[in-house]
Amino acid sequence: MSENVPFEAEVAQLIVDTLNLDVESGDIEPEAPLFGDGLGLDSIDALELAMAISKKYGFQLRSDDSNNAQIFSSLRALSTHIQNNRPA
Amino acid sequence: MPRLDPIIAHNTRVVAYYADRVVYREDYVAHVAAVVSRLPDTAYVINLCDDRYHFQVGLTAAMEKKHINLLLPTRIPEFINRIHRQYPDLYVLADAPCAFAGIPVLQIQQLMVEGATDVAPLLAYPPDQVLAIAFTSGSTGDPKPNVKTWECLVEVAAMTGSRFQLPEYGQGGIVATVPPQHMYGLETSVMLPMQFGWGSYAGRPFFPQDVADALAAVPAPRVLITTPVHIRALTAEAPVLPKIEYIISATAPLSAQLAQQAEAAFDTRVYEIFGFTEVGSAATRRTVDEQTWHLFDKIRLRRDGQSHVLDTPYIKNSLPVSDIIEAIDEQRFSLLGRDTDMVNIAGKRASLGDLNARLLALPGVVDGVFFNPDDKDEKVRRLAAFVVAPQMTVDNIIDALRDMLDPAFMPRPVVLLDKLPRNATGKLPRSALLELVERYVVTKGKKS
Repeated sequence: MSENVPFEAEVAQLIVDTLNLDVESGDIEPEAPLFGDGLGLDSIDALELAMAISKKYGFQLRSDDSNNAQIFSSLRALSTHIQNNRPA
Repeated sequence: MPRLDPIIAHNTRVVAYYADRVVYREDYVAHVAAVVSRLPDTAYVINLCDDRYHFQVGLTAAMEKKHINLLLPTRIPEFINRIHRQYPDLYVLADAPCAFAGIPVLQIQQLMVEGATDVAPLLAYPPDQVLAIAFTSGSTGDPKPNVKTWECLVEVAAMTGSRFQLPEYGQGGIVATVPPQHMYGLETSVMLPMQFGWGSYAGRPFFPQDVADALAAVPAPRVLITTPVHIRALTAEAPVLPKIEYIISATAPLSAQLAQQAEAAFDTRVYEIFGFTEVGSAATRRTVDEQTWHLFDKIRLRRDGQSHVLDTPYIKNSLPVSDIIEAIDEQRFSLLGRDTDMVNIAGKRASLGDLNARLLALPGVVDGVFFNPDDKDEKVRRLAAFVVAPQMTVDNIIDALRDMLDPAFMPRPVVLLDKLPRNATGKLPRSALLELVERYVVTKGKKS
């Protein structure tokens, strides 16, 4: 178990709400890929999520410090990225 | 001496910009020579280079070798395999690891290594040399090839540059969020800068903050080549951007409201380009000013029976306009509606007829249809699919579709039904589909 579970649940809900997904936020596996075979997201979703993250957490995603594939590799990775980058 | 048109303007100083370095004309010529000396002798090439400068070098080398570029609407292996069966004599040029069954893959970074070479690139080509075959998704399921000659690309670049008065701005930098492999990206982010001696940012910025970083890496005057989806994200996040002369948008309609917001937020002008794969870029408008589209100087519009066609001096055939338009005169028109068979998800296009045929061809699917919602604003809408498949689950259907569809067209949601509301003639009226959407898609999204 990760210590991050409550925050992961919050990010999972943000993903479901932003992208209007037909799944329950609790059903998103923390380590499963968000793109491709996992949740089936694509780059358009990444841009939508970037906008939602900027609005909710007050920072803008960037590709060059760590690439998109890494940031969006899983719910856990995305949650960690947000926690590490959001203004204190 | 036959006529030869140069690929790169004689006064070009810088070809490409990176965050931390520039690529000068001499470097580009040396890289092209190195690649040409190491390419195989084949008929066709698929240039998958993500880095725009790598793509430019690969494109030039292919022109030197008279290799025809195959421009594909998607990279899914099933599609590439299908193309490979029709065009067996080909190689893939890439700058990231990839593999396709039976197709040689060459990494361009390995070919660009300089060394003794006796190749002196010509950098100019006859108008009738074929640069590319651009594929569109036909309603029959077979990709439809559109031949693009060198003349075609040179003419479109010349008319685009003159429409946007590039020479009056001197030489600047172009940043693009679109891939160089699509006609719009090829014409505006590769051909346009090369023909006018501008440099292109080599990367493909994605997030708004990436776009800001990329624009800061190129000198003024700057032009941003992008799409409504990115303009919406940029306007929403509003990062600090350096001065941009123009933002150019294509691939999907842009609302006057969003264009106005972007013009105000970034102190710039926003133009749209209208085009389609068969003709390439064809018309422009400044979105905040007017609804009317202005065709490029050498393109003429005329009525042909129930529909309209475009005539150009650089494409032999008249090209039917599949969108619903109203001609004002032979150079101006209004766009009334998009082609109803054509699905456009964030700039990726597919035929609805083809998508439906693929769904119906899945083993276990008894009946099924894709539904394409109306575009209301720039928020990307996804397709829905209504499927009758008693022995299958939603996950079975999604897994089967994933192997054959570009991710943009994956239905969201897939709704399983006992039967589809077909009328007496077996057709599915849009009104009946809208009822299904209301019942299964809209209400579900609003549940919480």
